[in-house]
Amino acid sequence: MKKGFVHEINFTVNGIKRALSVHSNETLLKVLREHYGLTGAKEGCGGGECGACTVLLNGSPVNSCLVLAVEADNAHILTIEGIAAKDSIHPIQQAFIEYGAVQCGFCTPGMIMTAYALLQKNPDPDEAQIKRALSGNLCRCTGYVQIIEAVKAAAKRMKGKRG
Amino acid sequence: MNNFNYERPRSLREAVSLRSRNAGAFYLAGGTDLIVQMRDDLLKPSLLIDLKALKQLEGIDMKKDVLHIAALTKVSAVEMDRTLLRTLPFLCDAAGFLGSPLTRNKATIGGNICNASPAAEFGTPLIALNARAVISDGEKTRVMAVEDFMTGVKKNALKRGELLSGFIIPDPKGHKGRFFKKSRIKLVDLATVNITVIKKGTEYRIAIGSCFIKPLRIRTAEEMLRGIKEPDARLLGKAARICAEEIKPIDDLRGTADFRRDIVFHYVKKLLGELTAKGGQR
Ligand SMILES: Cc1cc2nc3c(=O)[nH]c(=O)nc-3n(C[C@H](O)[C@H](O)[C@H](O)COP(=O)(O)OP(=O)(O)OC[C@H]3O[C@@H](n4cnc5c(N)ncnc54)[C@H](O)[C@@H]3O)c2cc1C
Ligand code: FES
Ligand code: FES
Repeated sequence: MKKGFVHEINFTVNGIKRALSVHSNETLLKVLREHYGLTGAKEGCGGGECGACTVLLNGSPVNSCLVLAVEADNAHILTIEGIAAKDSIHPIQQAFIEYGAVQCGFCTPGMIMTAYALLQKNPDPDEAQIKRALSGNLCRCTGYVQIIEAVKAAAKRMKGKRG
Repeated sequence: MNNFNYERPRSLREAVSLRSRNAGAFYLAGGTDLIVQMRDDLLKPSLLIDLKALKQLEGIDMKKDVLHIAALTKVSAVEMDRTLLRTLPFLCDAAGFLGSPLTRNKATIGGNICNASPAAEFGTPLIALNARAVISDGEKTRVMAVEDFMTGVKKNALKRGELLSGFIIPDPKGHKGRFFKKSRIKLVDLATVNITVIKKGTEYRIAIGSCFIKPLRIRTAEEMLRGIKEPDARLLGKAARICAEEIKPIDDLRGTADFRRDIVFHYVKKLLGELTAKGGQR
């Protein structure tokens, strides 16, 4: 349904079905942050270069700054706010804390979403695969070593859990 | 970003008809070129025609020794397709060099060629493969070489209303190839130079990108090598020299024209050498 530049969209955000009126020129990032208060995804560059805005769109990590909200009609969106089980944090989040992979934290939600998608697809990635998967997520603080170590540790723990 | 109308047509015919009736309309595939330009107000479409619902425009399919890649196939799907990894791994390599994994999950192969940047990652492998662009007006299709489809910087051969429905690669078996990209940083940057070389039997094909208004085949060099099973280093050097001379690069922020000629000379020679030396499979 649409009226002029305003469109009704239906989508699922972190498991919850949502209906919303959006303007055609609003990005998914803007709607997530400003309408739903899901401020984990950040706007760094706004142009697909930095990955701070990474969310999963139908299971694949994408730059939400380059997704129009109207494009998300009928889609499933997962953000950093939706990955943990209730009252706990996700093993990737835990590993990021323990390994000092978070400094200013601006890149962290995007990093974790990309790592999350990687570990869903490939539970046992080697270092080269981790580096490649994270190559669209920039970090200005950590120097990446701790991030890669954290993803390795999380992979190990998650595998252990799956048994 | 300005406001615009947005439609997600359910049929090819409807998509084409929307485009024909609206002068300021653009097709939307992955949006990774389009939305960046709109964000910077370089482009102000009155209507975006989102092709997402047209599932027939997505997928990779080998039929009777002809490979079909539909226009809306995601770059990441090209990168990881099993058939392609086996038959044309250098095409997967080119896909894997386009932007970041996040870009590749949204960007499409058709968008890359329609956008027609001289640096387009799929430009050189597709023209070296003699790939053909399949163009639809909603009813009929016409076919032309990808080399002719890209007509200049950001220009393609589509007439108003027409859309690119995909690519055909005739006879994809038996190509040995190499894709190479030189950029300022290792990942996530547009190419300063990109190159694809192919050897099929004793036929050679050389395509070079980012060195002219569109990707180029260097046929004089190809002809010089034709029929020779194991060209020696001197001959490869000669072919590479011709390539460096025939391109028409410019100085820009990614490199000088001289730098591009040097890169083309050294890498065409190296890549051809890899294909012709024993063990240079792939
Ligand atoms: C951070 C970043 C990094 C990038 N890195 C690279 C890189 O390394 N190499 C590279 O080559 N590119 C790169 N790009 C550019 C871009 O991602 C690619 O060109 C991509 O393949 C475009 O595809 P798309 O589906 O997103 O196109 P869109 O943006 O949807 O469309 C591009 C143009 O083509 C038209 N169009 C699209 N599909 C069709 C169709 N089927 N029929 C008719 N017209 C159509 C659209 O109307 C538009 O004018 C990068 C972009 C970003 C944001
Ligand atoms: S804000 Fe989206 S990639 Fe930088
Ligand atoms: S922790 Fe600061 S940008 Fe990564």
